[in-house]
Amino acid sequence: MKLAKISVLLFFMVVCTNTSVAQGKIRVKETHGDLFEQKGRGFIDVVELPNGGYMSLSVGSAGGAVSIGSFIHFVQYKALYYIQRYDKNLDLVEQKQLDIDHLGKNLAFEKLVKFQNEFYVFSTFVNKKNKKKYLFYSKLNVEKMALEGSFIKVAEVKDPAAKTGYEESSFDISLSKDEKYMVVFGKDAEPIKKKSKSFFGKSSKQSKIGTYDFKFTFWVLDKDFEIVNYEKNYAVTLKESSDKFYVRDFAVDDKGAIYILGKNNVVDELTRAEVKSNKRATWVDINKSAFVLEKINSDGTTEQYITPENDLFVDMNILFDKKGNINLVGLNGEQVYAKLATTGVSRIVLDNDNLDEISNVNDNFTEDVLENVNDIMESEKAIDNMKNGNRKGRIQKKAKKKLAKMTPEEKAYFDIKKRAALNVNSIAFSGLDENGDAMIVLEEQHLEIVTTTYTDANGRTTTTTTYYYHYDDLIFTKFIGDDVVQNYYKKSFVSINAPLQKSMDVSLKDGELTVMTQGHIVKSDGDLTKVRDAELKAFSRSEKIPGMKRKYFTYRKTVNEDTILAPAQNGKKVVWYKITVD
Amino acid sequence: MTRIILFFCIGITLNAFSQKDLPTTDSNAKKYLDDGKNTDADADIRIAVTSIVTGFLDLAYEQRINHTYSVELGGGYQFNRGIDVFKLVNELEFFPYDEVLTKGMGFSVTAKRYGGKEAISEMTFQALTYRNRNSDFETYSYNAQDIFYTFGWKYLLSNSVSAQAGFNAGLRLAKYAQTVPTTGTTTVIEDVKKTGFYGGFSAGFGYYIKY
Repeated sequence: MKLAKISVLLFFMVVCTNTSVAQGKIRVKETHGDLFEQKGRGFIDVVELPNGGYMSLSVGSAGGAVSIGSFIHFVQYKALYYIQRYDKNLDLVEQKQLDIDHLGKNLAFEKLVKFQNEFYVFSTFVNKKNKKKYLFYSKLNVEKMALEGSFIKVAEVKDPAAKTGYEESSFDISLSKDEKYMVVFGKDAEPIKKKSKSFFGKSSKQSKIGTYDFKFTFWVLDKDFEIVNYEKNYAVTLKESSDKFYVRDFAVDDKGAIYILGKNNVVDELTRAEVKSNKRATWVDINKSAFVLEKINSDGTTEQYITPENDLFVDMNILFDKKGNINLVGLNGEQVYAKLATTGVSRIVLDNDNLDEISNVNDNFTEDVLENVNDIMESEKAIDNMKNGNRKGRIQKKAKKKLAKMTPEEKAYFDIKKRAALNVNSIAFSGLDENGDAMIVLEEQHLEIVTTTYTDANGRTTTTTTYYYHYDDLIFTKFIGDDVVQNYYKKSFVSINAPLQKSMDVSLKDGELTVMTQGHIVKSDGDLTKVRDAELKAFSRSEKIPGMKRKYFTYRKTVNEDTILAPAQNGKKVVWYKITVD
Repeated sequence: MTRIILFFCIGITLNAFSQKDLPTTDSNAKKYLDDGKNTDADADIRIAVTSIVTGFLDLAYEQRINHTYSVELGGGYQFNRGIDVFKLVNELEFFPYDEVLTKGMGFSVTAKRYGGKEAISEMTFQALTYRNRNSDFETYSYNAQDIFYTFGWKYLLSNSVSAQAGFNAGLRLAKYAQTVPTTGTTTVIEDVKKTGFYGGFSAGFGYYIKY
């Protein structure tokens, strides 16, 4: 499946535009290792080894398929995993197949986890007889590049084994900040209730967990892999409330307590009369978009925090500061018809013991940020001038016409443009710096669907639909005490017919943010007064690698605060780039 | 005294209730991986369905050598003239076609290579086969030696029942011989050798064995 996705990206990802505007330039060091032929097709992970080298995992496949007509298909594929080891210069030392089969059964790779300074491979197996999916771990010997020891079963979820009409069961694994505890989230395969309509959901970490409301099971493991906290079929609920919560984020703290961040989304359906009387095109009214944080201690006791009732939140993340207090960083919203538009950011600090609110800071986006990220045109400014009674706008006539043509919905969106970042729906990155100041990075993303109908000379019409995935401007925000500072970075990137697996990588060091976008490294100052960038030569066509005609980048990862690794690929030929920010 | 014992019992009960029943990790992976399916089979006994069309009942025994390679030995008994397209193409006009089949036998040797270290279970394979089939009629006999390459698929239909399908392409060395029986001996009066293409589709069902 992963292979298929990568293939789709390789074949269909076409970059339309890639422009950017920054407030200065930074220096970036780009080096690369030697060219080699990889086993496998696409990379799924890369990690830094304790000896200073690197290790990557790639996936390929064995098998083949033949179709005779529409009904007879011979298909047999198996995912094969490969492991590569590199020196500190990213020159390949060795690569071999990583065999994760056990007792004649094909296990599926789930995740590579570094825990207690050892690497573990987590794999899954769907047992059709038991109708369960099991999660196993085994230790990875980095020197021998092979699994050693036995496969140990950690967790299990219900899985009716590819029964149609069921969502896929899944696991998610996360570590506490000090890496003393590990939490495994398990989600049973459940009948499909409704599909997510969002093309841009949460980041990949939450993609399996955060789309539906469901009961989940979790296992908290200590450093000896002993289960110290466990709940089966757990559901986030409020007393005397029937609100349903969608799990958006989860975390485990340094004491083994688990935190679940749920979002409720109570939507009233408007009656036909209400829609008509309000001249509304949409049938829903978002009257509540709150988050609830539930802490489940090792002894089974729970604490709960609910965000203020009248505040609408678009998204929220959990962070832990050095004292162990919980920081909920979120996006404030305002309803415009069926959409919840992001108007600002907030940070709520909660006491670790009882979830009492210590502080609550929120701020709207500044005029400067909004004017730039929303690309308010001169004509729109003129309309605004007219509405304010100022008729000295340069293009007054045009503006008057445009205002007269606007529907109530268009007018509402026009107004909200001055208060909200319209294309920001989720937090792209959040983190706390050494001083405990919270930082949030947001990226404008939207999907544009263009349907074109052609009629040829014979009168035959062909309709094509093109999906333009836009990845635009960045907004940087930082909470310094009770103050919120903001800045922006203007960019434009379009991927046609295939969304990016990951649009950017972010690292946080000494209070400064470093963001790798498509072809640029963007860096903010500690107080966000300046956002500077550097164009990456690695992504440029003029930067040639001997023996490689073209370069494709489909994967990259921030391996530490200073270093981003990205493989340039062309078929099986690979060169790993190391990008270091001074 | 009774009150003390009662208090003690209540204390133990409350303590038991307050402690969570935590699961444990389990190193006995076999318990969870056992889905009843014979995916790690050592051998496969198979009947070729498509051979029935040619009038042969072919049985094959496939033995796994390691997780990549296997060898297969097959034997066939001809019960009917059948329809052998490649025989029909090469047949000669002067042979008597209305004769009754008296005996038909065959054998084959195959070397197989599986992808993804999945021998001999559910995966694609490539194979090289030598097959020798002999059909005796009243006055003439037909011998076909086929050497062909196969790209095929193996499936596990139920816990142990397997299915195999493949596309073949190779060479056929055919020999026609017409004989006239005489007292105590057989005299060959015509002997024609032909070389041609052999190929097509083959399929069969088998049963996996685990020793």
